[in-house]
Amino acid sequence: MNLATPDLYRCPRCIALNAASLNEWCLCTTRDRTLVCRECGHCFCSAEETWKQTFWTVASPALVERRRRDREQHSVTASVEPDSVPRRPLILLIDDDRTVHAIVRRVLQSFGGSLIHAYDGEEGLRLARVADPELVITDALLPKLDGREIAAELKRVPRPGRHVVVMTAIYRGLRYRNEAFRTFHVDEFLEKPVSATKLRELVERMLHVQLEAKAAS
Amino acid sequence: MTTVAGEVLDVSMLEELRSMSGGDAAFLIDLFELYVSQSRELLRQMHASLRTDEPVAFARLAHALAGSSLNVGAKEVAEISRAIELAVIGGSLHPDASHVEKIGEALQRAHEAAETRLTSG
Repeated sequence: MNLATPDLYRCPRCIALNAASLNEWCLCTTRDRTLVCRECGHCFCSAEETWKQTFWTVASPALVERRRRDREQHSVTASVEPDSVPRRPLILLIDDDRTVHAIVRRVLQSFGGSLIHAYDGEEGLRLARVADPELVITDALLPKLDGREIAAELKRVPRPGRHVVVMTAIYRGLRYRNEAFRTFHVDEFLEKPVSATKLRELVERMLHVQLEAKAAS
Repeated sequence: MTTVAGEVLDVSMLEELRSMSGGDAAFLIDLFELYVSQSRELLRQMHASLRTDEPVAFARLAHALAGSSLNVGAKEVAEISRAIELAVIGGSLHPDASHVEKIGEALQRAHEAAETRLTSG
């Protein structure tokens, strides 16, 4: 899928050009606020995560702003309508180590929400602002922008229901742990190497979901 | 060369990954291939940092390599990378090509040991 040109939004199913630029939000989910193709009616919620992530990466500022306003409005509506459709949780993972992404993707494959990925600090903070995930898991040491700065920035404007977890780099756990809680106000702290069990427990606790535990056959 | 898996790999970490993946050998093999290819890229960047004489950048790359090595149980690579990182940061070692080579050799041993272990079930 070529999304190199920002104004050429192609539908992932019928590849119609500009399919998403002028249409309405889908109604099948209240979480992702994705769009419906005006050509074939395809809902973008069913597109691959990487497609959606790329889509929002190149989306016009006006569209991003429209989405933000819509989500804010929805958030208000949801708070006064307890019976409305529950949101699907969104997790953002920021790490420059691709093995971490592979492991976390595998651990969380059954959690029923969406996982989006960033590989440096700047990209991670931008995605956190655009996608507004419930849970941000970030490495402490990152290229371009430090993970602890990301945590502090996200905590500067707190939002109920959003959690920031810092995964420390190796070896320096205790120092980073204290600093992460006291200075950068993270909600949780994970040490590397990533423990699948701890990660699963953390996601279940923070997002109130039940993950399927895999057992080796 | 014959390698002893326990000296090169953290077998308990590999077993945790195996359990986490539900015993999916293909996932583990893909994960290790991803690790090896990412590590080779880090080694290339280490060589580049030597050419521009940037020991701090070199130490940071060694740190990154140690971290991802621990994630997949490549114990020996992690230990060597970590020792080099600390020595460079502490000022007792000025990195050169022999250090990159040493890590590269350990990476090769880890790759071979993991291949043997993962493909034999």
